[in-house]
Amino acid sequence: MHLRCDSYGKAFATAVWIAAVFCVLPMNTAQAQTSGKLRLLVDPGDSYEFVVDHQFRMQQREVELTTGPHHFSFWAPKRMVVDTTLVVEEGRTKSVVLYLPYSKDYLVYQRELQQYQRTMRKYRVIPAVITGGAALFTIISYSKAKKAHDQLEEDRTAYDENRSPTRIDVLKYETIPADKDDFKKANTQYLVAAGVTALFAGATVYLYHISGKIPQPEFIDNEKLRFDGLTWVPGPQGGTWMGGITWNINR
Amino acid sequence: MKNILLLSAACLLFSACLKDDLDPATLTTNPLDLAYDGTPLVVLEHDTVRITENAQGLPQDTIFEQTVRVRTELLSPLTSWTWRITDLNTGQTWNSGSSTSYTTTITSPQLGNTYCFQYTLIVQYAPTKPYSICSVANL
Repeated sequence: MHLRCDSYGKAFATAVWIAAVFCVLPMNTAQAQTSGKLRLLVDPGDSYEFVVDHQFRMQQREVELTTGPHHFSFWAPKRMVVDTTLVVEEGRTKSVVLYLPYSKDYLVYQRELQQYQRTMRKYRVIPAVITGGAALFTIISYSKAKKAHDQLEEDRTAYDENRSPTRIDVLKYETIPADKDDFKKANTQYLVAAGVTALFAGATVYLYHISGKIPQPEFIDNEKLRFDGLTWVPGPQGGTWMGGITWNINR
Repeated sequence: MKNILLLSAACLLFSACLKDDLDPATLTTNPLDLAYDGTPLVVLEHDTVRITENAQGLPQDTIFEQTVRVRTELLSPLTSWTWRITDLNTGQTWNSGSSTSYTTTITSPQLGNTYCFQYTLIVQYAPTKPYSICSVANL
């Protein structure tokens, strides 16, 4: 849930600007000599952002601040917002190493996504692989049946062209019956394989259809909403004040 | 996905049906097959009864001849054979050379009698279908 108050936001932003010009900046100028640096070594290193003193949203590896304690809120996509106070020492550059833990929402999403992927594997990949295997077996069986059929055609040609009565007898009463048996076996195997493949294909289509109704988990980065709510975010029309309230009704 | 699977299954089932239409009992077209039932391989060329004369020109003997020939156009060009002849009246069997035609001779036949011979071509030491040919000894 977000609260947007453009008109009040603009007025408030103007007031803050005037206060900054007349009050904050002269103080900063007076205190400019007593500053220090913080070098931020944050995991993940490429996408983190932070808010300093509940006001200034930044995205950089090194920050120069006035000496003393400063409040930091760190955040990165999929990670939790981490609030901490860092002390800046005069004239020194301090390195801060920080690991942003994954947010609970993301961990839950990851678990649900893995469960979804396992379900998809069960409903889609495994049946498809079995059907593919059956189809391959059918193709091999067909190839064998075709070969046996071709052998019968060769037997017929051999009969027509043979010039030996003995070989004709062997061909007619031994070779051809044996080749016919081979063809019968190969053809039966092919028909059974084709039938089984058709059944598996049907089952695969059915499971594919069923699995299409299972919703895919969606990740909503509530920590980002919380982090965005910490600061004023300028927009193309000026600026807006944003606040975030998260209420996870699943728990 | 569904259409592809159904189409592939249908193709597998119906487009590739193989039939075994080779029946050895129906293979009867090779002239060298014992079960050959086409145009006869051995046919009667002619049969005659003639009277031989001695040196003085007087009738000496009567001879019956039955000449048969092989229809070589039914065989492959390189086929070679020998004759086996069986006299069906006496049961006597003999072999002969590899000529295209063969003449069987009977000396002093009984005129009006029927003489039957069985001719078999022997190809690569194996007999082919025998052909029985009968002729009546008439002058």
